[in-house]
Amino acid sequence: MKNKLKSHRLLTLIRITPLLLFFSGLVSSCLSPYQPDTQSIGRAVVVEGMITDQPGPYFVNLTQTADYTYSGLNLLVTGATVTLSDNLGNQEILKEATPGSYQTAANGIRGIAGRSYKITIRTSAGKQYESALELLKAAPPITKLSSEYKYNPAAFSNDLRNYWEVYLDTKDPETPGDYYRWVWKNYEMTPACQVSPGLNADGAYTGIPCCTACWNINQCYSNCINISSDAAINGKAISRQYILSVPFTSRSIYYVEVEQQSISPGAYRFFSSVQKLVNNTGGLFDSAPATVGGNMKCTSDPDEVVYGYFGAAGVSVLPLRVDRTKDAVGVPNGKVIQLDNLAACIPCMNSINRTPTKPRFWDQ
Amino acid sequence: MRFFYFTFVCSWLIPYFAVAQSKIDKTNHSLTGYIRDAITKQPIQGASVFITENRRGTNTSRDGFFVISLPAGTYNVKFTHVGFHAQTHTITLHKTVLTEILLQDDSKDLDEVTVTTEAPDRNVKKVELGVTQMTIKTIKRIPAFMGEADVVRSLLLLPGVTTVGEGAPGINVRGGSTDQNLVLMDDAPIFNSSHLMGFFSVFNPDIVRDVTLNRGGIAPNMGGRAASVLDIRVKEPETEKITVNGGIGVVASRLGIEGPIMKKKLSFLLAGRASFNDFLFKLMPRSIRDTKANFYDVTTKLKFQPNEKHTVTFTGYNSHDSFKLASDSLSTVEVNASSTLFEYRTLNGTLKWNYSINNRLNLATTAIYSQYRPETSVPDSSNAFRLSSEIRHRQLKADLSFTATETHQFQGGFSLIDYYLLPNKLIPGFQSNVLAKTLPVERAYELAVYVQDEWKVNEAVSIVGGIRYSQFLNRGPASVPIYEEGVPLQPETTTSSTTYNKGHIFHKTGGVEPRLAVRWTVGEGQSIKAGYNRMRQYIQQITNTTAALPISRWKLSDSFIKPQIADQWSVGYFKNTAGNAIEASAEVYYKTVQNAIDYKDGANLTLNPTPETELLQGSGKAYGLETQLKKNKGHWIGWVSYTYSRVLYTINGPFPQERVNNGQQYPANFDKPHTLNAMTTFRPNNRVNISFNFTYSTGRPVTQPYARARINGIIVPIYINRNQQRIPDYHRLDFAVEFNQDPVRSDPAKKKRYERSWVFSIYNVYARKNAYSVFFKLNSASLNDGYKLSVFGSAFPSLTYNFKF
Repeated sequence: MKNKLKSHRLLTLIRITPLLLFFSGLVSSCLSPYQPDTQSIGRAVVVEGMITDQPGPYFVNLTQTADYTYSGLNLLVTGATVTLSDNLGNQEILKEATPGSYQTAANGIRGIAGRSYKITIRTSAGKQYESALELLKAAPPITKLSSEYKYNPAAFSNDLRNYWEVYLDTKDPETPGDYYRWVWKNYEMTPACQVSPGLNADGAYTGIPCCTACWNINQCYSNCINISSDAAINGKAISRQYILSVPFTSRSIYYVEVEQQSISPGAYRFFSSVQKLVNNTGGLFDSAPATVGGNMKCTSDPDEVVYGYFGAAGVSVLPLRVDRTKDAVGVPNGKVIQLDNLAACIPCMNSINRTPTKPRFWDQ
Repeated sequence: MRFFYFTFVCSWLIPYFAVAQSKIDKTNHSLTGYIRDAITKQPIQGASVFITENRRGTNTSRDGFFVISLPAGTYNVKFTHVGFHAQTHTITLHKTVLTEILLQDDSKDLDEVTVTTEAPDRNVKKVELGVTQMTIKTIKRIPAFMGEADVVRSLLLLPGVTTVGEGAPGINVRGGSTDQNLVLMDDAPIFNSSHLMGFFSVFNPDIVRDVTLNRGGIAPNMGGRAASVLDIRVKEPETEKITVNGGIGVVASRLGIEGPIMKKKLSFLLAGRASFNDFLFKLMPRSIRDTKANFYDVTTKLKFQPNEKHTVTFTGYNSHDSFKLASDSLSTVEVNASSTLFEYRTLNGTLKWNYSINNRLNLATTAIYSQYRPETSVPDSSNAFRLSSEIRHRQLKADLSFTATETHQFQGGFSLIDYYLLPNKLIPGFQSNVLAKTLPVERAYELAVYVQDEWKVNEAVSIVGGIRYSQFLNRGPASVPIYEEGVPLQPETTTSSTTYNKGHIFHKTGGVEPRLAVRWTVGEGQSIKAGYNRMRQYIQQITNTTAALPISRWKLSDSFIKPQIADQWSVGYFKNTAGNAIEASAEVYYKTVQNAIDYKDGANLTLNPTPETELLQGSGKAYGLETQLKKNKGHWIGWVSYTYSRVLYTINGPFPQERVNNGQQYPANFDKPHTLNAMTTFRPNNRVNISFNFTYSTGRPVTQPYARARINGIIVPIYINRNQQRIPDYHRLDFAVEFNQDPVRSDPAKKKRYERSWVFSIYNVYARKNAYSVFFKLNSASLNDGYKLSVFGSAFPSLTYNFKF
């Protein structure tokens, strides 16, 4: 009898438990906006730029930091004199092409492996900044680029459900202390140089044709720092280094140029600290936030802080054509464009997103 | 002549022994025995034995044992202990008398002291300061998160104990990091004291007898960590009959069995606890819905007592945790994967032989094995890997205690620890791109010898003093890098390395650790105490995160990483009034730490073959005031404590990159200046028990960005100095009510065969959204980019059912 009673009680408990769980389920963790008192350090100069052993022009961008609470960004430093020089005494003054963006002449200085480079900056306010000397080290060639078809049924749209992962193989030199950074650019020939914002009656975008051959440029827009060191693999092959995922936006060939940069240890540390900071959520298990350093210093006022990095890198480039005609299932999820052939053509303007210049390996 | 020679040697070596011997031979006999709980037969520690005739007395030891030497005669001896009925026995002493006293629980009187089972005046009388003992009874009364009575969390209510966040693993004691606490479970060290990443502690409340936290006044027989010793004792198995107990809770369910195998000689205990709460996460938001979190732990204890002289106990403990996150939200591990599985296991064993040589000499010999194996794994085929590490701690120690005279009690001993530490081992999965990597195993011996004397100088003054000498020996096989001189340590500045063969001692460090505590009774129920101790720590958990993960790397001290040395001075005033019902205390401490550890900006320690290039060592100081007011008797009992404490580091290396905050002093991650804790229990009758618990503390320091910059198209926050801001202050109220279906009867003969109880508790009654972390994520859609994450942002009710039969 007693036992019966006991088991009955246990049963009621088991019935009660899910209810309680439901209670606690309602009250899980939450995120709420919170604006602490932030402190201001005034504006500091941010420098970014790089010289490579590929043909120029090379760019140096000058911006300023913004207060953390201030929503505007990209405070540009205009009217500065930026000089790029090497250890042999060659130098060139950069031209301000667009506000805050300075570039070398197309036939100007050219990076050569084995030389060291630095920039000096004089702002319109008379402040002077200088980078450390950066040695340009030739990059080993990319041995192979390959792609592999993948299918992720959980993805939201079909262009992400079907994708091709691009991998890079290279051979690390015998010497220790090699650091790599990989960037990629996708060129897609476009017939239209302007596209309507909305869909037309046929469910397509209306496009205005370009006057000349024109290529749209895509590159990485988020989590873009892809770096590695040879610390663990010195002298061996780097194989299957992930570069990008090609989306299923069309069944046409996907043309991508992958650039392998041989960067300095300082540049590696700089990029790796930026990478960590961007991923930091301030949680208990996140690494302590670090100061973003760089290789710039203010020569007119040693106490003034400058951020950013001027680097010198040897570069090797290899193209890859990803065949999207096979493997993928379903309909590609890309923009369907109907050309309005009656409209006057638009010239193809050179910008970060578009170029009339044929990509280097397009015809190979 | 031979006799003379013997006496001569003896008096030279141990004069007190000789004096004592001669005294006993003339007039004295020993009254010895054990004091135990009449119902549970558990030994009672700190019970007092009082001889009415000559007003002399003593207290029982940890095993409930007491010894007092008296001239032959007949005495009225009073045995008392808080929470038990006092007994007076008339004892005639002509020879050594061994007696067993069974005291009965007085819980029906409602005068029960639930706060502590220490002797009523222990607060004032004991010599050490900064030592708090809590029984499992107290711990179970504290309202617990999800109804899971928690040994480690309950310590957070004590003055001087803090945590960096709710659900963070470990505790910070008097400005020490979590790895500076030596957590012992029946003498075996526990390297990770938390289940489920820190939400619950690894100790099954059903098997714990008591918990002692030594945060000041650490005795010479303990050492190896810089901040504190947390000593957890597993209860003795029941010797009378087989008992089964258990409980069903929201988080975990428990089942235990204990009883005799051979009546009065061999008894056992086996208890297990397991969680079945995967389905809990199914009810949670999508982001954590695929999380899987499970744990179990099993504790066993065997006790063999062939006679009163010899006792052999074996304690075994095994625990396993598995925690699967649907996506990798732990960026420090630097894996990109669709899911990450964290697993960690503890396997401990302690074999202890206690030999009571005679009334004055006791020898305890202990062999300890402790193993901790954390592992992170990613199952994805192209990135699949397992990252594992392992610590093995093998220890042999012996402690000899010698009661020389009424006024001197000596203790001495040695300890030998053999460490095996595999820092990280990366094993690629099948068809994985990841390269295999194994960091070399670190091996070392830690040797220690100590002596101490507890000396009752006079009625008012007592001293416990001693000295410990420890030595740490790193041994091969090893390959030690040699760095270029005059430049900061960096992986690039390695010039060559020296290889050492197996067994070769290639590095030694060590030194003396003096310990001293003095008590001076200044009046009725009042005393002043002072203490000094030095602690050396040779093994540390190195992690660049605010809270150490259970998988964070451990590191032995070596040629580059110097041992952490803590010196602590403390002084306190203690007062008991109203027949020991009210206790008040105030303690001040000042502590310095040599070779305190912090990290370079952006340090990465996982799989790093040269962690010394990422570590920085400097000086630390901690100071504080701890006050407590406690009420021990009546329907209402409880305590209030307020603590002011600071912990500040200065890391000022010779090179700019070896400095933190430009070499200026800065608060450590766990610097929380103000803490207020209050806990109260109301017991209107013997069926119902109502408890409240309130806690307030200053928010922990954080590093917030000063500005933002756009670099290569990425918006990067700019940080300048570490730990200059704080997260919002923390406060919370908890509530629990316990309902006993079968209240304890005073007469053990009429005691019911079973006990059942229900515990209903609410954690965070007023649902404060306390900040767990504060962080910044740029959001173009809103101007607001600062966020506060609250993990326990609401009230958590829970119900637990306990039984015993």
